[in-house]
Amino acid sequence: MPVKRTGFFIGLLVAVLFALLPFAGESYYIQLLTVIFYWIGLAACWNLMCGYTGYIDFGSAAYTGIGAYVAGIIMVRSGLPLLTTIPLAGLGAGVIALAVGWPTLRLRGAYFAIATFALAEALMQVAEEWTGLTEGGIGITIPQRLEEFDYYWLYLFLAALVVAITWWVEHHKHGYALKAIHEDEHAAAQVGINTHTIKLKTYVTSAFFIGMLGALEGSRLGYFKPDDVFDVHITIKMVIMSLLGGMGTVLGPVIGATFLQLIEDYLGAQFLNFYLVIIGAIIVCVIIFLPRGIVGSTIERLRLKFRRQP
Amino acid sequence: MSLLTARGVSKNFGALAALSGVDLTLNEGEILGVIGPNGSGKTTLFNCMTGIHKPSAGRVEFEGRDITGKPTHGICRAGLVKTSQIVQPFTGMSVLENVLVGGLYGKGLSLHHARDEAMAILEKVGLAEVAAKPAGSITVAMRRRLELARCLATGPKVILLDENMAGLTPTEIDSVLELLRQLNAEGLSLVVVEHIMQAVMGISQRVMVLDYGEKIAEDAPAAVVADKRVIEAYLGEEYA
Repeated sequence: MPVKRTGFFIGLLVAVLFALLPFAGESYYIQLLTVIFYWIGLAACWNLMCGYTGYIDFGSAAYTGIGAYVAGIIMVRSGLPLLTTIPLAGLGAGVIALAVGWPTLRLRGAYFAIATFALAEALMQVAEEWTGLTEGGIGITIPQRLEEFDYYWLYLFLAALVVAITWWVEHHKHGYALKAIHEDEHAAAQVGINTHTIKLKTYVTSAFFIGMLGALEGSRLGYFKPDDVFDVHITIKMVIMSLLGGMGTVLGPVIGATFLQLIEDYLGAQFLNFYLVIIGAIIVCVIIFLPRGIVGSTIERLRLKFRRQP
Repeated sequence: MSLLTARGVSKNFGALAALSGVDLTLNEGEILGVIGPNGSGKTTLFNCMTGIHKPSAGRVEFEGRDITGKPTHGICRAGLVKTSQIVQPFTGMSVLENVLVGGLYGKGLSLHHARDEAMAILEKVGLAEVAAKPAGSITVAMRRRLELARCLATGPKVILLDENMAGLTPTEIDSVLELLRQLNAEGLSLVVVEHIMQAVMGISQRVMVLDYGEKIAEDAPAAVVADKRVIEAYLGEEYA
């Protein structure tokens, strides 16, 4: 027990230290960290559902899109303050996730992945065509914007919150159910786990936070079109970050998102046209040599090491 | 008093009638054996009773309540569980965690209580020494015990054992039988599906025989093996 608590408090301390960083002044690093925190948040949401249960969602961008549009449309139409629209965007994404998850979470494996992928694509089309509501392909301009530092703090807060929720899940009852579902769903039901309800709760929670992050990012962009916020690359990045860091671990998405975003930033500046090839090679290497991700494989190695010692 | 009853349970998979109108009664504190050649519907019957399959026809009652087609997790929480023919521990978890999950969800215990109980159950089934090992790393005989331990953790009134002794050595079988007798003496009712005759006959108070999805006999063990239809089903007509 105390070891677990120590981990939690170290995490909290790190988050507080990062929260104090802007007081040192504005710099390039604050902007970089803002983006990193945004991606940690998204990857952690994806990991919470998909990393733990093994249900691979290829349509998570549906919820960044819904979040961005719900907040954007409310701001444009009613002039509510930005910060009020953020939780509403989360709720919007959560409600859609509930409606979508109810039938699709009965599907398994590739079928769930395909269904969610189709959902994100379909919603993008809806946003394109429903011009009366979304302005369609012309795009939507968000009338309000927060200060640069506010995005930094909000992303840090949301990322820390999702990671803390993951930590809580890992150490409580809920985590055992998710892992059991991942291993063998039939067997999980046979020991009394209501698998459908637990998957649905987790899925909706994950979508709620993705929706809020999407809404914030929408306002940070200031202007976006359907193919910006429903972009399949958003989903792919969430998947790769979780995979790199280690699916089904608390710190996996933190490490994965930081790692990928840093090399993207560095290589993008150094090798303008070539950097995607290098990133691809790095991803392949990590998957071959660290199949459980950076965090997952490290934990495994440490475990083996400690077991061998008398 | 009858604890578990199946009345006229049928199950069709497409054109195949895996079960046709099977009745089963299990009384409180009883051990009922179910035998039958391969493909006679034993596993399907178990699956129909635990909600894994929805019966095409018929009715299943547990403690007087209709549980036909109810979800598996609900039937488990009510006190009716089954072990699987193909052992399916959660291989990524430790042996202790496997049992823990049963207590957490089957019985609704807190993490703290479930841990204590899981340890006590592991002691009982003789797995306490491997509690911390990954469930994927233990022997088949141990996995079969683990399967039973996980069921026990859910606090069942009835356990359906689907070939829980398959692949075990005679010594291992004897120790499992001993354990089952002990559990039965503590008030647990059991339905045992088994190919190993000596095991079923020795432990069951009553035996029912399935063949091609139908019940062809039900009696005391000694009477069942002398039954003409049973011999016919197992050995062919000329021996009957």
